[in-house]
Amino acid sequence: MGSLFGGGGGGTDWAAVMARNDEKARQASVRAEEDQRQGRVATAIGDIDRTFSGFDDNFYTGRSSAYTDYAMPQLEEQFGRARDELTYGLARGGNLNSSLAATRQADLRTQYDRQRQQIIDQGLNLANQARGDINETRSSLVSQAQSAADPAGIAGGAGARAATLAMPQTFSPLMPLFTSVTAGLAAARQAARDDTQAQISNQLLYQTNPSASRARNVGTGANP
Amino acid sequence: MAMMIPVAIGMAMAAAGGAMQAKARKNAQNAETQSVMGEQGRQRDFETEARAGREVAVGEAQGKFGETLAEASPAARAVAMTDATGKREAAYNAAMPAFDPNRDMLSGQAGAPSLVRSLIEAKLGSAIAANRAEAGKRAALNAYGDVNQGVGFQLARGAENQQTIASNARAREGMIKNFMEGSQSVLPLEQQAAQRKASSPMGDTLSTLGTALAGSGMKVTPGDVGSAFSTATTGMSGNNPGLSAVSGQPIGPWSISGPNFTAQNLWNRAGSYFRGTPTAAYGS
Repeated sequence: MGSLFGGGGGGTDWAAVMARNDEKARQASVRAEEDQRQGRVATAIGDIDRTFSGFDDNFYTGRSSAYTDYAMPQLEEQFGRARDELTYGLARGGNLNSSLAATRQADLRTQYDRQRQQIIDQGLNLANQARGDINETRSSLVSQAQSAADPAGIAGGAGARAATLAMPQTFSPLMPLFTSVTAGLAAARQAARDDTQAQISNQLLYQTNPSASRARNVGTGANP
Repeated sequence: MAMMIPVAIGMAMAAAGGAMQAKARKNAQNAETQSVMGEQGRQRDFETEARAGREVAVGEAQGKFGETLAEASPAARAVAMTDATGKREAAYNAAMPAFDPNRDMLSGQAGAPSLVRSLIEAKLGSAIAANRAEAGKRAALNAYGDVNQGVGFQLARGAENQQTIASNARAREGMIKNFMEGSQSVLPLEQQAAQRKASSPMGDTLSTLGTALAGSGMKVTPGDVGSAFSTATTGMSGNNPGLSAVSGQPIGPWSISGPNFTAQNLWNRAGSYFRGTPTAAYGS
């Protein structure tokens, strides 16, 4: 009756009301979906973090130790050989118990300590590299989860990526480290030998040729 | 005098119809204004929600950034540097064994004169001390990389947290923008509905009928207003001038007689005349 007096179009009114209600319902649905999406992203990031939680300090210490455990025995082996070479080199020149031996032994020890430090460094660097790779992988997964339609799928794939990262690494054998231990010993030995021979030659020369001895004394102003 | 009565009634009906139409137009105008104001309110609410969300997101992001900065502050870095240096130095020192005659003395030196032996041991001791000092410097040098890597991770984690916040905020803002557009899209329908309220079928009827009554000369028989209207219009059209469409009797002069010609009766007849038309059916 109201429409008869005060306005018609009741059907259109309902259409507008229904459209408004539909829009409200749509908004509620979209809002709920967005809340769920953000929840899924948060859950996925949490799952990724849980998957990567195994990569803690112990893991990286293990990586470092794995390398040092691999490299140190090789270093010891090379050090043993270098020490033997030094022993023979010094002994050949009769310098085993000399100040030259003391210097050479100190040099060898310095090289040895530096190589041990180098191996520790290499182990720590490998651990740092692993730390960087793992963090990068984790960040990449988180970034994917933030933008993916299916964050749970990304989180599910994190396990496989983590397993790959946790696989043992292969290391290269050490190169020869103590190459200069005996360097110069042969030359020193030769020089010593040459010096000895020169002295002998001089003695022989002066004993067998008095004129030469005289000439030498005249030359130096000394009395024969 | 007898002709004045239908003219007066007609004019009253026209006036009533006009008033109804005016009221309907005002209602429509009000409804239209309300729909626009309602939409403005909704848009304001959405903007407020978007602004609030933005402020919360910025606050959270700033908080995370502040945490990152605190973790990477010079003081924190100095502490981290000391810690990293200590760890490295400890690792180096642990790797360098102390003087051990079995390791450091060469075979054949066991029988060396004590003077020579002392000399060798002193040289080795000096070398080991120098190596340890070097290890401390090496630790300080390489710890810088450790600390930088840690700071890099902290910054990356901070950026990641901010990225999550920003991503969620962007999604929410996009959603609200979508809501604003969706809400706006309903407004034309509401305005159309409001404009339709400007139509008053009864007002139109009364106005038309009143105008006809006031402006036409016709015979109004008691209780047959509808027929009279037909007659009047027929008469006006000139198809059958002077005859009643119902009774076929000549019309005019005007005569009103009998108890049935009342306002209520007129109302009822007018209503029945227009009932069933598509416009009148809405909302009846």
